[in-house]
Amino acid sequence: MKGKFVWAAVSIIILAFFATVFSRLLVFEPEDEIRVMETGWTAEYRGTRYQGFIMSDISSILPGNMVRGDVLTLTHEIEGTASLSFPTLLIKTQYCAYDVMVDDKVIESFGLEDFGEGNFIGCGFHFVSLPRGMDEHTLTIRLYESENNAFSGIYPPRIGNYSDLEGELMHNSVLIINAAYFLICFGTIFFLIAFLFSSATRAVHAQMAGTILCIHIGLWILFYNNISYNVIRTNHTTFFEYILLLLLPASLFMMMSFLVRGKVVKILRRLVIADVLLSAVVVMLHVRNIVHIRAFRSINYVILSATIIYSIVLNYRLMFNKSVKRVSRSAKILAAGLEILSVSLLISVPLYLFKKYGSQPGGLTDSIVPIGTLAFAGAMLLNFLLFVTESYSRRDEYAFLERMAYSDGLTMLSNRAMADAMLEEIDKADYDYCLISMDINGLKKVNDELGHESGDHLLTRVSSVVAEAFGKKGVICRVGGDELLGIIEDSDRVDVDTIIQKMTIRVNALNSEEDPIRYSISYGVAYRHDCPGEDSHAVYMLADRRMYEFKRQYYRNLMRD
Amino acid sequence: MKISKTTISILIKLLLISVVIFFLAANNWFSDKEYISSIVELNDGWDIIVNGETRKDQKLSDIDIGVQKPGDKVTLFKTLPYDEIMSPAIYYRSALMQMSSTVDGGLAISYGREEAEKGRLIPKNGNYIPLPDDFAGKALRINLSNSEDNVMSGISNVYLGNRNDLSIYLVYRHRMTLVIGVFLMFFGLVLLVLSVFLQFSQSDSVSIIFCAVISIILGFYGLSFYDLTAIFTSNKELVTVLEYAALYSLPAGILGLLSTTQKGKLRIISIVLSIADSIFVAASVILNYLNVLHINFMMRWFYMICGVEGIYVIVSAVITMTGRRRKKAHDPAAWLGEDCLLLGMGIFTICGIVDIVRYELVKRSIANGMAVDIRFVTIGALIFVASMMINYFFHTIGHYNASHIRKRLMGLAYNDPLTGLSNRARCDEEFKSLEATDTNFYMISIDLDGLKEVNDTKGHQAGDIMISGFAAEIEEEFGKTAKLISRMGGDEFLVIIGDTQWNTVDRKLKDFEENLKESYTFSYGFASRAEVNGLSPREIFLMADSRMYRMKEEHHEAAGGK
Repeated sequence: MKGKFVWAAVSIIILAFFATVFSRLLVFEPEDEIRVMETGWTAEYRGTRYQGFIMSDISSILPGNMVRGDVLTLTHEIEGTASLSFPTLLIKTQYCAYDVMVDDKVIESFGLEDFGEGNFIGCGFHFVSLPRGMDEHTLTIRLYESENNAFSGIYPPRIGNYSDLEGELMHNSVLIINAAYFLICFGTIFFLIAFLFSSATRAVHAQMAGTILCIHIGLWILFYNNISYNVIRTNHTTFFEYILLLLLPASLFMMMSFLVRGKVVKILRRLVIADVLLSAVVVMLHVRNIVHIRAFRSINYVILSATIIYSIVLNYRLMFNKSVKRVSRSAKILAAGLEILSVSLLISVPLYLFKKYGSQPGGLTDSIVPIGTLAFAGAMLLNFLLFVTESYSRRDEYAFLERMAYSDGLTMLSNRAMADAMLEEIDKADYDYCLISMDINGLKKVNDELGHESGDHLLTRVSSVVAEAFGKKGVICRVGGDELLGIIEDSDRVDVDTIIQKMTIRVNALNSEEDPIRYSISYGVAYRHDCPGEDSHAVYMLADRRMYEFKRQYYRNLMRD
Repeated sequence: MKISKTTISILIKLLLISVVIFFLAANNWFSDKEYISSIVELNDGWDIIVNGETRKDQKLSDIDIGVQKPGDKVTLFKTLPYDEIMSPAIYYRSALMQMSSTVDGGLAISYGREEAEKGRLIPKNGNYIPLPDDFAGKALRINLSNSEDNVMSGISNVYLGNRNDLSIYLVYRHRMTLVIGVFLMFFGLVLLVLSVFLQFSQSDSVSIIFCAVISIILGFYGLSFYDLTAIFTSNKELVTVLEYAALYSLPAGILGLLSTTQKGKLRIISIVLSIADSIFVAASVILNYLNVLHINFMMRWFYMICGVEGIYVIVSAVITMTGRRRKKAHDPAAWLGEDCLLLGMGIFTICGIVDIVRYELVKRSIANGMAVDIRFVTIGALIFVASMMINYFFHTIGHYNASHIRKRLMGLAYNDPLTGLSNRARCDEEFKSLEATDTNFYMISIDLDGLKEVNDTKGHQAGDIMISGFAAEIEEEFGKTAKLISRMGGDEFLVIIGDTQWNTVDRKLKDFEENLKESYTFSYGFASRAEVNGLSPREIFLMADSRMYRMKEEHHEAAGGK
């Protein structure tokens, strides 16, 4: 117990050490100033000019909801950028194309072609390189809205050195981004390994469904927070985000279906298929450009919320189910992890729905799901580790049971199962084995006349003497009530006759005047070479016949006496 | 039914794997985002001055500037090519060197001067040199000046492109290392958190701590080697120190992990070596911060440690594995898992040694030390961690298999193979548990008559059939009500039933006898706990047994009287 505390303390000290190092490591010091442009903007929208508003609050001053085709022009006077080595403008767009202009000269455009064709345009961060060494200039951002009712605010644009802007973004989202990378890699490696063993046990299936959930949510976190750009080079991050959100109920149902038993499993599997089919239809409609995927957002949120609530209830029941037979410990650990994940999702759904685009990813709101999913991955890992070490501690138990299984309870000799196994084994070997069939004379009579206790006494005493005579040179099995079988595997190296002589002398020595039981044994010996070309069973039969011959002789002698 | 089930499971598997492949492949299928401008690697046409000696028109990858001594100076010149690039920049990663760069004579950037003047370690740094928009045809000059002993030779690759593009490109190129590195670090941290709890629930979880530390070290080293840490931190000095510290502490971690799988003398050797290595790491870091010896100076000592201990690790792993083979294993899956872990560790160590040898060879002879990557170590790290995982899965499966084996063994240990009834051992267990209770019960001793005659006249086979047939009859009659039906010996059976009326038992047995009159004759006797106070189950059994004998004698007399 003391050692356990020591090692637990070691773990905590190492953790504290790494925590200190990483907290010193994860610092962000901008080289130059980052200008966050919250105020000072002039907006032009549907022919009206607006001034003196706060950028992150812009949706409240614009009349009505923005619809597809609306254009919002934002202008701002900017100071010179001469002090910056790589002056950059960081903006975040949602479902819109844009032009960035300096003094009416377009320096970067995005998505105008898609906007013209009515294609889907997603969300994302854009680093726009500004001309170096500018004096005072007018910056104009023109946004072309491509979705109906999608506008919910603007992330305040900022100007600064490129490395500072990127550093700030990465620094703020360090937990989210790393949690996502971890979940994806963890899920992938686990999945592939688990897949190899998938036919072995049901528990591995649950583990596999868990890995898929990890990858699923990991990717969704990257896409949702628009921070996938330096590992996944695609313009379709938002499209993927929505697909993953549509499929999330399927992943959750799949995971749950491996934790429960009975009829529910079938229902859950059907729900998985239903959700996959629904998602496929939505994706089809989107790809054909009939309805954009964003239009299914509210349906998606309703289905997802229902799934999450169901998951919370189900996992709660699993965690506190007292019947070990119905819910294994392993399933309980996974259910606990899934419960934390589900609660984190439940908290986040309303937060995401009413989110305003005023801050960088990485706040508490955005960290809830990553932390919940990390807890789930932790539960999977814990499940993993508990079974590793448990198998260590069970080893001794198995050894004991194995001994039990192959031995006879009364005489402590090997039993019939062992004899069968050995007879099979020696058939495959190439040495000249020897089988000795033995029968304890008069056991039946002792049993009947003096009672079973005396019979047991006769049996155990003779057995122990026989075992002693054979020593380590052979194996003695009790194959029937009064029948023993001696197996000497490599008879060339063992003097069988001496063993038998020793055995007979010792058995006879058991007899005494006071003891009413007569101890004697009949035996028959047969070698492999006695039955060329035949199996061990034939050799055994021969030994048996010789034993009966011996017995007949014995009784004949007895009668003569 | 069975076929359709397997078909469904195969279909589900295929579906799942295709989803994963989809997402893995999506990485390439959907890499439709283009860079703003082109990214050019500037390799050809450099003029270079090494300590006053000029070489013209060189390829960067071919340049050998030898091992650098303090005060050595290298200058690189190149006329920039024509290319239309927005917000152009040059990327050059300097390694522990002071660096400055001019474009057309004007100073563009300067790095590391302050540290060099104070004699401190100059951190590794990815430098972005700003270029004017009309950079084409202008002269780029990069001055490198070394103040360290035994610093890496060779020149890093030089890239030209948009500042934004370059930054993304340099990460995107190594995205696998990024994701794997982050995974390894998080994995280690999560393992550490779990290990605190596991210490109390499990017997042997020390090795998990070492696995965790190794995983964190490997992850961090991979990230910092490719300068991927720069994404998240601006503390360059700490990154450089930690990069070396991480590398130096690998032997300590691996030997620690190894010691948990060993026994006896080998274990002590491993622990001692591991502690010595830890002291080496601590000393290197402290000396660096005291500014006595920079941490990179310890590299040659580290190589020596690696050489000696690498051989030790491989040899001792082989000894442990072969030693175990000879012993009989009860839980082969678990051993296999442990061997797999050792093998993974061995492969990783070999990869490390291969890399170091390659690195040294390249450094001494070929050139371009900076371009040497740690491909082998990355692969080795993955194999190592994968082997930890496989170790786990073997264990999990071992666990499940073992619990199945256990059930089967239970059956073998407590069942009579011929009749399928409980055996004597099971009966002893039941006696023990009955002793602990105080409710009433009945024991019925039943002895089959005529087995010996059948055995002797018709052979054992017929005798066996007779016993199993009779056992089946008992099972059918008492199976529902009995607590236990057991075959005690050759032809003797014991039935234990719970509290009931004496007469009920009596009638039941009489009916049983009547029913079987045609096929079997048997004797029986029964006794209950309520008859005499304070008898042990064994004594009650003997009482039932002696009553059975009385009946048997009556049978004999009846037979004899015939």
